[in-house]
Amino acid sequence: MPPKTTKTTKATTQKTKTTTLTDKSPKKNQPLPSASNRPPMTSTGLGGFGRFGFDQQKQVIKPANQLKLSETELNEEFQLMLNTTDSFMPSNIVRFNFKDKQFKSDTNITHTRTHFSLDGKAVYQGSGSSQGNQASGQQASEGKAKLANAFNISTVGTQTQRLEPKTMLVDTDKIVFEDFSYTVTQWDIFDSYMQDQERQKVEKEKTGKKPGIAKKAANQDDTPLIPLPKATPMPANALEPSGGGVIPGEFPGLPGMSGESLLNQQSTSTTSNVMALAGAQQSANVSFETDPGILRALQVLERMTLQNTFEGISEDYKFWEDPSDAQKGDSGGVLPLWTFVPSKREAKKKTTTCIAWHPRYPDFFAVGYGTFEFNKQSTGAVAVYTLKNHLNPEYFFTFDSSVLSIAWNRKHPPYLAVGLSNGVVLSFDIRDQTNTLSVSKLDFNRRKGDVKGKHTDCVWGVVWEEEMLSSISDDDDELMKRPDRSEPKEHDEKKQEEKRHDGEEREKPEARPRTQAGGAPEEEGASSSIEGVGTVLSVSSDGRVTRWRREKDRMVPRDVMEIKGDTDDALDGGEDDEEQGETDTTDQTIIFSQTVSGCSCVSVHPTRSHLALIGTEEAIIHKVTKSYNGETLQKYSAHKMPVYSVAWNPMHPRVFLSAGADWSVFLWDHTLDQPQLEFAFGSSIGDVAWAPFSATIFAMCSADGKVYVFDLNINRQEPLCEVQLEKNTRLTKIAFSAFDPVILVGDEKGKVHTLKLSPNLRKSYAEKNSVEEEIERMEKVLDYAIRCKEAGM
Amino acid sequence: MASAKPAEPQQPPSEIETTLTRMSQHPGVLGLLIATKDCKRTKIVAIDEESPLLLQKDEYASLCTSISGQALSVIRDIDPADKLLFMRIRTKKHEIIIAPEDDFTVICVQDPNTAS
Repeated sequence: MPPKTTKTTKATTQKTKTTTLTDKSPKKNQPLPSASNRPPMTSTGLGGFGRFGFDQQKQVIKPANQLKLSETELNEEFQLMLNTTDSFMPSNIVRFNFKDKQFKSDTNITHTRTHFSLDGKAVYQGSGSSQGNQASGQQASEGKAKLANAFNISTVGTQTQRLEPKTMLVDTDKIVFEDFSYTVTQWDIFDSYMQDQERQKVEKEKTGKKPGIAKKAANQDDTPLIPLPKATPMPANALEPSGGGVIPGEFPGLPGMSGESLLNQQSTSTTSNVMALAGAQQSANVSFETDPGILRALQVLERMTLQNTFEGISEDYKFWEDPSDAQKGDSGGVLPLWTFVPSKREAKKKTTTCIAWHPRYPDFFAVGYGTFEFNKQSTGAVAVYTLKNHLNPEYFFTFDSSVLSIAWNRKHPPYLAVGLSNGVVLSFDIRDQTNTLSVSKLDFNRRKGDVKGKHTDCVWGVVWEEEMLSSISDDDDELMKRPDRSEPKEHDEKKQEEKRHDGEEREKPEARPRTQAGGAPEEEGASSSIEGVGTVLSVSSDGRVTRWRREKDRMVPRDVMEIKGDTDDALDGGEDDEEQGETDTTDQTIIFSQTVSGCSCVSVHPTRSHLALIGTEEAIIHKVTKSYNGETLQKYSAHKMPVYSVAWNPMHPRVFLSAGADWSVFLWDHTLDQPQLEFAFGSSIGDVAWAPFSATIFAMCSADGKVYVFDLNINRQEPLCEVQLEKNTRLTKIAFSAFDPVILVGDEKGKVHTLKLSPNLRKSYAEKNSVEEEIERMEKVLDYAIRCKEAGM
Repeated sequence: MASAKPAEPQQPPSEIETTLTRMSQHPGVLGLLIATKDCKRTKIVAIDEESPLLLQKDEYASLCTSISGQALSVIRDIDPADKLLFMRIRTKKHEIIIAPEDDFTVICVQDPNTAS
């Protein structure tokens, strides 16, 4: 049907607001009214009469807010169209297409409106297959038998019976509704993403395919893409106005979590389930104690409470500078900080035998406990402390004999090497052990127990070997040689030094007896051990220097050398000196009858790691090379009693100190046979140590409880500081921290004192001189010493 | 170690137990409280009978947990890679140190004035 158009009508002009009596528009051609064109309301209220041409007096009543239009506007023509579209039907219907699994707009919109429909029940009478139609069924039975055979096949369209739809009511289970509320925070989303990343990483590793495929594989699991919250009872604090304080761990099924974590979440989600989980772990108390997070938190808290209590000490450690140093001139003092007293039973009443700061962590150090008295051998212990907690060590290990030496591995921070008094050398990772090792548990330590070649006497020194040995031969090592007095040669020396550094890489290791070249493969095998942690060098009273290689469950030793006593004396026959042990001086031709000197201390050169100093109980210091076939390069004898400590200068390559039981400390230049400087004290010196930040500052501790600090740059004869730390207690070991101006001093009662150096004692630390300047200072000291000698002092 | 908990005769006292007892004996420490996140279960170690922790343990547990949760949310909103390690609240009378963990919150109350 063509759309009917209505002619435009003219709106009646209204002159006044009030009713008008005249009807200007002729009503003869009145168009049929449509929905959009309503006849004006008349006073009679019946616009319809106008259609039939009633010419009544009409009163047009206009409402007050009727739109007023001008003449032209009134005459404006509007097009109105009728069409067959159903305007009530929406044109933008979108339906979910399950085939394509997306929303698609439905373009096929019917504009047909059905006003009435009735489904009939009439069935085609003639069809034989109509069921339930009695009449047709009877006819069929009356007729010939309906046998489907080849000759009697009739294809007939059948009308299936229409099943009447019926409305049936079904009761379902009550659908439980839940309110779920959650506050999303940015970190929550971050956590979910992180977990998803982890999950994908795991998946990727599992399938081993490309990430895209792995992702697909992941989705094909049972986990839905968007896991939906499962219906669980709501946690108690879900609806609290927490404003972000809600913990996500309690809510199950957050989007982005994987299936496994969903399951985990399930078990920890609800309030009641938290109890169930705890209940599942035996008793209420156990769950608190098995959580490693609590241990961490407790350790931190412990340190914090201690910090509160001992606030003064912490502040002093960091900030205290003794102001009286300005008035004291050159001398300084030490400020006692913490005192570490072992509380564990195994370490009580033992002597502190060794102290070692950790090379990497400024507040970490290890202390070894044992006894120096050899007729009273007992158990030993190692405690690893941190300055932050002086009441309780972080790690504690016990051993079945006294600990005499310890050393940290520089490259692998958790590894510690320990030397015991029964000759055992151990190295282990401190994290792997349980806190106390009973005697029976030593089996899994790296001990050399049954290994051939173990030390037969106390192990006085252990040192980790990590660096490759230097490839420069000692003859060419200019730095180790004493420079001549004249200036030009010193310049030459510097030039040669630079050349040396450049040429170090290029230089081939020449076949000299003193370098490692000859035994290179063996050496490398030993130094880069199976686990790559390093080898341990140990010196012992049985005169042997042994290198230990770590294997799976034990340390394998390999002798480097033996420290021999003075062979000249042996050959001369029976000169009665301090040589010990089994000697066979009568047979002078047998080489192995030479006496061995028990070693009591060792120090490896800081830059030339093939050089080491070993002090012996025969009061002789041997400079040895650790390379494959070690040998003694030089001997220094000036002490008269066993040497307790030797130490290379950390900056100046030629200088070292030695301290002995003969109440004296000597300063040596390794190129010269005689000591350069001598310092005498009132009692035997337990230990001497250089400050790591200076070439001229060193400290020592003595058996009468005193600590001395020297700075040779300032005063070459007297200590800058002499402090009585303890009365009637022998001080055994001293160690400088590499990071702070702090020293640790151990005494024979097992206590370890922390002392802070006052400003006067650490001028180099404050000035931050370069290494060259420090070396210069030391050179001046050496010159002074030589001048003193020449002057006959 | 000599001491063993009577409740668990077969297990040696765990590291956590020894640390707890040691800490509760520190000078000034009024007590330690470990609470689960929803404050349903708490464990208190305090040597003093009159310790405020014992008297008001539920308040301490729930309030401290919620404020440490808020603080955690603040830190992580600023930088999701960060995390709250612990917080100290210094009051006129005490100092409360709270360390939140994944499942538990550890609360320690110390009186810093009695400390040397």
